[in-house]
Amino acid sequence: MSLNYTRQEMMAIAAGREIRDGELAIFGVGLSLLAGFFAQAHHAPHVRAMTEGGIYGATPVSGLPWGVECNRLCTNAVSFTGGLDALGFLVASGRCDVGLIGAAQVDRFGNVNTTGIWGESLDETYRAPKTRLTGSGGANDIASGCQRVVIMLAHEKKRFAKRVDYLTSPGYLSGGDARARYPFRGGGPVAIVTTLGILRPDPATKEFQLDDYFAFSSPAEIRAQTGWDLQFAPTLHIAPEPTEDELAALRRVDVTGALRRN
Amino acid sequence: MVLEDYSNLSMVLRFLGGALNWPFVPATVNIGTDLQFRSAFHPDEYASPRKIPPVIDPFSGQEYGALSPLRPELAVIHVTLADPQGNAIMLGSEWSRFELSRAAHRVILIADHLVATDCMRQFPNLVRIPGLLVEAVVYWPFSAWPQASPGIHDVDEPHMRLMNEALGTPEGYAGYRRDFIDAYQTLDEYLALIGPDTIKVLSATATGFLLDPYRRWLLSRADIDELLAESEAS
Repeated sequence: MSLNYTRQEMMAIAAGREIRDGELAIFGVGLSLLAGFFAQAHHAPHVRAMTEGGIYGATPVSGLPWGVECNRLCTNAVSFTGGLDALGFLVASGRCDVGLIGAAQVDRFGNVNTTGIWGESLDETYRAPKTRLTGSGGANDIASGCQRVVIMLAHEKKRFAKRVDYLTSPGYLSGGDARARYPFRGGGPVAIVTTLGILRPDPATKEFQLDDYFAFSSPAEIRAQTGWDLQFAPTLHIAPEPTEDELAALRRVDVTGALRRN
Repeated sequence: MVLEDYSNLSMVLRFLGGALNWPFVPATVNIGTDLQFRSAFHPDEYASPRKIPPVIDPFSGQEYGALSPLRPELAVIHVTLADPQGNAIMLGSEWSRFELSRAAHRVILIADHLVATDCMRQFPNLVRIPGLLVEAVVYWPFSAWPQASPGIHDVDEPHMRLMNEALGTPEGYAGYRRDFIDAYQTLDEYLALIGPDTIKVLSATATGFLLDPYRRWLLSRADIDELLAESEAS
């Protein structure tokens, strides 16, 4: 490994590589904002970026924003609108090409939980969670409406559940053609990018399989950190390490070093 | 009190439904997930048919979700600039404030600055909440604190961390409430609680240029005190 970088930086760069130049893109709160703006700073200068509160054409100034309407995204915006415009007209309608969201917990069909941790699957009766999380925010809307969705999270066994405690944002639901039975305008998650590798859905079953591992991880380590019987894709390979240019671009965006902590 | 989960878009759509006085809003979001199936009002039902019930599109026969409209009794809305008649300009993203102002039966504004009505006449396209919907205007600078108000002040990061830490436990919440919610009665006491040094630092925001077009119409504290005295007398 020629360059020094953290697992979080590798995750952000790998997620950013999923974004193509010129796309209409929406970035969720937190590290996914940094991954998205890294793509813009590096290989996608013409990405048309927006946040769910309706801030268009902005880049974060002086570090990771507290939220998607933080002042760090308000110093160079070209348009301020609102949630109905961003999440409705541009996302739920199906116009948005790609969305980046974070997750507290994800399952083998790419369903996301950001609502709460019960420590077990909920049965028929709904009750208060052990740990209450932030809720959907706009993540459900992004997961429903964007043509492609990229999910980012730390790769730990407790976060990679066979079934999420609570299904906040839809992946492929119960797998197979389950998602296609609903009138979502978006196609579903194309990648789960983690601190250890990249998982992609099997075209038929929609179960997520390991497609890429990183220079510092291994398929065996990733399988051990996954709560379902993780399969390896036929295309399994090592993802390219960050280049000098990529790392420099990411660090220009991540001014406060939110991703430098390992 | 019951806490029910929706996504950000479905809340705006519910306000929109309320504003238009629609019976429901057809949804392509929240369906198929626990946001649709888990209801805190009916915790023993799974999948709950009452929170976001299925509804059939009469044209295509496809099933969608029916979001219930919201018509709040009262909406209290933060705005950047308001005139004494309740015409308001918001700097930064609106989120759902436009729809909410039309859905609510009564609207009260909380404004960082009061301005003369000539300001609204100069920028009528930007007045997204007109006074004819508004019952009262509260002048309360730094009312978004510890969060940011674009054009006015930045987020108070140390206090955000302190608040998030405190709100994690019942004891922390009680202490926070005592020290930062019940601890003041007047605007001056509130501003003293934030502290003049903090106010100075947060006011030096890189977004300050957003306020520039409006500065000539900002009312002074003396103007506002006079208005308040008149308002109380009537």
